[in-house]
Amino acid sequence: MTMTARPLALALAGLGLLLLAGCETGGADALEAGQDGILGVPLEEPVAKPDVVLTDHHGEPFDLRAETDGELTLAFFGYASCPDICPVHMANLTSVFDRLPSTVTDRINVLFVTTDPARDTPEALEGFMGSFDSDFVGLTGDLDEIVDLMTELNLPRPVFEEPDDDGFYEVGHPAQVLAFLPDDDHAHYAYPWGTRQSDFTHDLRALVDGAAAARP
Amino acid sequence: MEWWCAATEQAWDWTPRFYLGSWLFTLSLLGAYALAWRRLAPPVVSEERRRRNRRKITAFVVGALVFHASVDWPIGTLGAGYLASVGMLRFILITLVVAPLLLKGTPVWLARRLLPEGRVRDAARMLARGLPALVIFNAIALSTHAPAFADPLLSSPVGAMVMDLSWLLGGLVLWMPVLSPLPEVPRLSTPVAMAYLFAQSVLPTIPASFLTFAEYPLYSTFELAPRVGTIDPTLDQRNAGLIMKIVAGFILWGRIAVLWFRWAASQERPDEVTSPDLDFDELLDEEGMRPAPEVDR
Repeated sequence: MTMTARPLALALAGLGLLLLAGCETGGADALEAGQDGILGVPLEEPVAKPDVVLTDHHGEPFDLRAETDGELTLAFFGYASCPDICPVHMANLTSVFDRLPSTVTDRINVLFVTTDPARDTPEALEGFMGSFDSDFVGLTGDLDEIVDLMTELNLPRPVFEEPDDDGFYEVGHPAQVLAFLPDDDHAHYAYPWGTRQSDFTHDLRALVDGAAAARP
Repeated sequence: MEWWCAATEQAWDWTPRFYLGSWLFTLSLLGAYALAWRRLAPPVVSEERRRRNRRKITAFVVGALVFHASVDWPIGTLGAGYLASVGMLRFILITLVVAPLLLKGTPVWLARRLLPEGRVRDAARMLARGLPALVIFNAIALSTHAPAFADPLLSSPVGAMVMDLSWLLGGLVLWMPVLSPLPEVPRLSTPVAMAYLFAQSVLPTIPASFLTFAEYPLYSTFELAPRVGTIDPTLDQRNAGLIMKIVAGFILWGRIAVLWFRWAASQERPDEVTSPDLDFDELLDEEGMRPAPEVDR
């Protein structure tokens, strides 16, 4: 190797090591684990699971507390015709469920609560949910009821944009997934937009196994 | 209207998008090339020269058009913001198709202008020795595919442009030892050139393996992008790894095969073939200059 090439080769080797070391932490908004080892963002004040009965995507009544009592429950508020965040969140959670063993996924509920019940009838939700894990549940109800539910959870209410010429309108909605823990049925963590599949996988394993019992 | 194709988080659809920067770049490149032929090209002295000129112009124009296709809608849009596999295809196109075509389309008189005697030509001579070119190209390839760099770069039009142009520059560096258009910057001898390209076909195995065998999507850009159809980002990333290894390997091995057959022919008919790469023959009738002797390095 010539004198010119040697420093270049060393530089490449160093660069390679540096880059490979950074592979796992790519992304500017990577979540950082708290003292309890959980990557989710801890809520300043845990929120109790609301006592509400909605309608699932099969058209059946869904009593939130009774159906999810004592189980890890993820709740996301969005709408079926959302062009970006909603389908990506749900698709990423589906990929996470594909990787986790059924002994873990059987103890987790994933709820997609519509913020646009006018369009998201049970039939429309059934079509949307069909793209994701078959155990995920789509929920709809009266708009007022859903807005009350969001308020109870300290989430911003949905914002409806003006319809375009085709009658399509977008709906502003919270982008985070709330995690209700199995031990007290309170939401303790939020997973903001940008949460990676690896982050979800890590936390769901830990939360199901009760790792968050050590939370401050 | 946007400057350059980058990740936008907009849902994908087939509505064409216009990128001002990519159009300006391609038109400037072709315009400058046409102007150079008009103002700088030596007079055509034979039909053979005319035929060779036509072939060079075709190579350059095709290279510029493939570059444009790689950075414009839909390939550029999909590859910069939606699918890692299309992003990898863009990388392959720019570094292994566009760069050699641009070099093949650069006539000697233009190369002399672009690489003037002095430091610039000394640098080109150093790069054309093979190993430095291999190191520099792979440093660019590795850094622009590392998630820690790729995700931030792809999130802005300027960053995405830097990435694409660094690929183009890296491609030119990679192919310089094999397709140098200047006799003063000699190409590698054919056996060494074949070994050089073989080494380059092996090196991407490492980053390609990371992509193919990673359990999770490595790039937040593609993991969090609105889905194109039902393509899962992990599967898409595996495809990207396979494209990096197989398609790139196919192109490089194709070039090795061409070099091999030409070299074999030159061994059988040493009096007829003056250079292992017939492109260099133009130098024989270019100002009466013969190519500099090839070197084994």
